[in-house]
Amino acid sequence: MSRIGDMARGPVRWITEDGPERDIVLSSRVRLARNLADGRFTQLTPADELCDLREKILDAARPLLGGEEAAVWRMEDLEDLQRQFLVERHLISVDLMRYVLGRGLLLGPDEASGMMINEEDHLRVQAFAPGLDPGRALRRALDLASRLEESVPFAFDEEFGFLTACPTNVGTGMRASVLMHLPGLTLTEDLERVLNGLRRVDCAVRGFYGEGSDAMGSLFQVSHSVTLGPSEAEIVEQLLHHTRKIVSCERTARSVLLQRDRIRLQDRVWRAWGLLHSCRLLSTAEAFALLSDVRLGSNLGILPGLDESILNTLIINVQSAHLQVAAGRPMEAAERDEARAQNVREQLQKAAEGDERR
Amino acid sequence: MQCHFCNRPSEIRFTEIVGGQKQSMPVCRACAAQRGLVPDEGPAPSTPPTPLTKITLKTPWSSPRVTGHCPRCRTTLVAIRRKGRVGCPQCYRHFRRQLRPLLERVHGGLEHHGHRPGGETSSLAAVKPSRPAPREASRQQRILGLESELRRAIESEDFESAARIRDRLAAARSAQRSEEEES
Repeated sequence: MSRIGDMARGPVRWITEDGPERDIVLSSRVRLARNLADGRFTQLTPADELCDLREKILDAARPLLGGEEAAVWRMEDLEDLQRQFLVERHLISVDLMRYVLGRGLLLGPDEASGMMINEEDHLRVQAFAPGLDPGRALRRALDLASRLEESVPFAFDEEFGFLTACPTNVGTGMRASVLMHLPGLTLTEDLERVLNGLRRVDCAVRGFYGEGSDAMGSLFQVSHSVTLGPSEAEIVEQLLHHTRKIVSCERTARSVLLQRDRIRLQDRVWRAWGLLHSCRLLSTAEAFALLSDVRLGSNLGILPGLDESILNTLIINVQSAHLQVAAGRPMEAAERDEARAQNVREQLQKAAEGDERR
Repeated sequence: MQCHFCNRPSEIRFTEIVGGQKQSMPVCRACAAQRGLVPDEGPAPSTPPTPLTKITLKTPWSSPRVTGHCPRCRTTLVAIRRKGRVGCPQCYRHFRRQLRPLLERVHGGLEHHGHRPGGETSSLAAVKPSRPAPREASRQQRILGLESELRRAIESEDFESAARIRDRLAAARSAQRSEEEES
């Protein structure tokens, strides 16, 4: 619990450190699906074999992620709340939270890279980078995967590449994605048009929690769909190309808003600011919506400049399991709303002070 | 048949019943996955599909001539088709001929060109660090924002803030001017 407790109180590096285009792109992420050459894919493997497999992978991979400094979680040892915390942190999938026996998470000391064990594939190596920098995340993930394959041979086919449980992942086994904040396009109602254009060029758009989730706080995950054919570097180039286009659309939308609807925009931002500073009960959905407005206002200079890393951390920390883990106990919904409101007030105070010191 | 969304060859017919009317369209697997018409990640869903929604895969998946099972994990092609998941690495080799058209439709490309076991990762040096997109728009926005902040401060007779904002505004404008001169 202590490691997770520390994480709940500390910053989230991949979302708080400086990176390219960070006003619009919060973070980049790459995951590589890999399976062991012998044996069956996870869903056909009995639980006791999954547990053995997990230990084998941990033995081989842990030294590559800082040895004793790496964090290891066996899913069946965790409480529901802790697993929920890891989902909110974008470190494990909802499936790993649901099917726990024999599943695991290995995480490097800086939280920048790690791997899910026995998800749909035996290994989901993953790496993060702040801002728009999928190339950096790819180098981290591929470096980890290639060092691991020296001791754990992966299932590979000359024609089909790395073999995965789902045919949609075969080839590179890679999914690169970026987490974007697009409040301007949401307000000018151009979002659907831009996102539909993306879908035509083999990109997928998902909400903050990935597949099937709503676009809370105007946050979107954009990723590519094709994994077989182009190389990892080509896929990243493509994703960068499309992401930069959206970034420039978002900037245009923001300047249009400022020119056309300035007072309305100012009103919206200052109202959000006022609410977050004075509310005593705050739901997750409302927190996301208001933080989105405040973040936009801060980036456009409507609000006095705020410490962006505190704002970004808040997006992660206002989530239910984060609040409860930080408090060290489970809380009912009403209690969580109260704790959330208090947390936001304190952090915003800090964000504003941080800026004055600069 | 071509995919309703992207015009690539379709392999799935998505049928749903809306208000008692049956609606049906051809879609490719990639678009179906993107739109959540079929699960594309995670284990197959534990809940059965709702009776009003039916997804059928056309050949080669449903070809009645393909029989037999994978020698290692005993998975049949019918099971792969039903779950959308392959049983083990050997399945790909055993059903290579049947899987090939599917993979071509899903991915457009066929042969793997990326990283391989024991391969160099140095080709990745080709991925340039992200270049920043043009900053003008954002700088311009910041200036516009500061101008409004300044007006507000003056209106509310908060001259201390106004002086601070004025300095920030001057810095932003001079940065913009020097950028224009450079380009």
